[in-house]
Amino acid sequence: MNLITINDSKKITVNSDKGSACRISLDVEKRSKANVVIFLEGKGQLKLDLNVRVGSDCQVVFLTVNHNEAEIEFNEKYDIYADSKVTIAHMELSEYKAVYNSEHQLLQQGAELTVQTASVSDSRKIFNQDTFHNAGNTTAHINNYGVVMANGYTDMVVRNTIVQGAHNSATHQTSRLLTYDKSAIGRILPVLYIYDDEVRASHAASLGQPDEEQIYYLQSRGLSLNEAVGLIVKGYLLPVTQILEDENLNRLLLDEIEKKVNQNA
Amino acid sequence: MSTLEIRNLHVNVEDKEILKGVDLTVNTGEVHALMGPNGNGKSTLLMTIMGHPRYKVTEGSITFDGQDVLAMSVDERSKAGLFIAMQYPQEVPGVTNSDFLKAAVNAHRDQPIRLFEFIRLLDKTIADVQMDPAIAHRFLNEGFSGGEKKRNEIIQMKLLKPKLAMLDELDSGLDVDAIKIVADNILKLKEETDMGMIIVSHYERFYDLIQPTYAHVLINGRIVESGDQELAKRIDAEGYEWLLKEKNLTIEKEEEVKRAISLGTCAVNKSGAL
Repeated sequence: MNLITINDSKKITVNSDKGSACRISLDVEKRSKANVVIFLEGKGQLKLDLNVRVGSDCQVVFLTVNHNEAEIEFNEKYDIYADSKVTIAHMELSEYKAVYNSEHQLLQQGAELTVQTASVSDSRKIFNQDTFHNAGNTTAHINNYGVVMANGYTDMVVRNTIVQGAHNSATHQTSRLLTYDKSAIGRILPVLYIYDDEVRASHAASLGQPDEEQIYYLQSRGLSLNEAVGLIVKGYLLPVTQILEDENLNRLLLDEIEKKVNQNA
Repeated sequence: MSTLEIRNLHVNVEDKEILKGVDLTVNTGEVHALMGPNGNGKSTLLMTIMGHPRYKVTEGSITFDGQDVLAMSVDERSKAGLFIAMQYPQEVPGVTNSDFLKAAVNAHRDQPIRLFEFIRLLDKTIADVQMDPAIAHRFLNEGFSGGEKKRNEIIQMKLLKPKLAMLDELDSGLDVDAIKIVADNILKLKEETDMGMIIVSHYERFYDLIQPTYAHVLINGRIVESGDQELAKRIDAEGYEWLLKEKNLTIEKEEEVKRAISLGTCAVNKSGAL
């Protein structure tokens, strides 16, 4: 178990060549302002367990970028304390199977969470996300955007729970999947468990194919089918790259998407 | 010189025959006005030439400089020199205009254009059509006014410099000043490149500015009359009635199937009293 104390920005690289299982605990000290970027690298299978405690009054971004060249299982749990603002972003563009089990606990008043996921599936991608509002005046925005390519499969199960007594909490989830081929399969299961009356909650989910007219329009200007699809995919995932307040991180995400799009083109 | 040749073209849309044997030859330098009442196949012809997947050619041929256009994909047709300015340009959220335009320009070149060269070219082209430079950074056609969308089509045409441009009601949605700006840009590009054009418009004013060399009238999926600019002027002044009488034609109307519709349920008076 690696215990890392966070009070400033940090880059963490987890290399599957050095072991197939890894456990990391991050303790973010109260009143910290930090960007934590986690790169998954290597060529072996990887199981990563990440436990994060975010103390009160923090402003933290956690960004995970998966470059591992084999299957991964990523289990993450976040405990978020009073008045902390946490953003969790996942950039899942690898060609390999990936399973994300995410648990977010909003434990004290004023805790605020934003989750942004960008996924392109050439293989199997599973996202299980559980968010719990355990205290009043907590907020969660869960936003998942995925593109499923030929023979790809993406499953998004998103559960938001507001417990009894968590007055004035707000929980919102949006999941969108674009399937690019008849062999592409997508499934979205949006779930809201609401046990308190004075809350705001919403969910939106969409699953569909790209607009034939858009592709025709782009192709009529000379773009090949793959180039047209690439531009649309980039545009589709763009919201994920615009949520982070750090310009360098946004640039990093955009570069990742462009690299993936160019590969496919 | 480039030549587009259409012979005996029959086209179906969703199993309904829209074009029923169209013949047309367009050479570079020529401007052909394509006229006709709404719903008679003008847009279908242009979309078919450009390869829209919804339009199925059941008979006939289209060649461009001897090459079989029907065997080409949509992007190959563009690279061969065909261009369509669409009646309803698509909105593509998330794709910036400049990214799209750079990709389009590069698709027509062996080597990618240098960034600074592209920026200079784009800035100049946007200025030519008198648009806000910020248009480059907005998402493609998203939230554009009707006039902005049409001017954006002209930007694309100027950047791609086609051999044959098809303008499908480009003037609709443009105010009087904008029509003049667009027409000036079209004429300037024509002067530079000697491109051929097929123009669909319902307004004599646009034809006055562009000065077509030929005019054709498409009715019931066939070209029933061809002439010069005088034909366009007469139709603008007198409509199509004289032509229908002269050719002994009636416009085929699509059969309307009237179905009962439900507006939902309302309260039932159980007593049966009115």
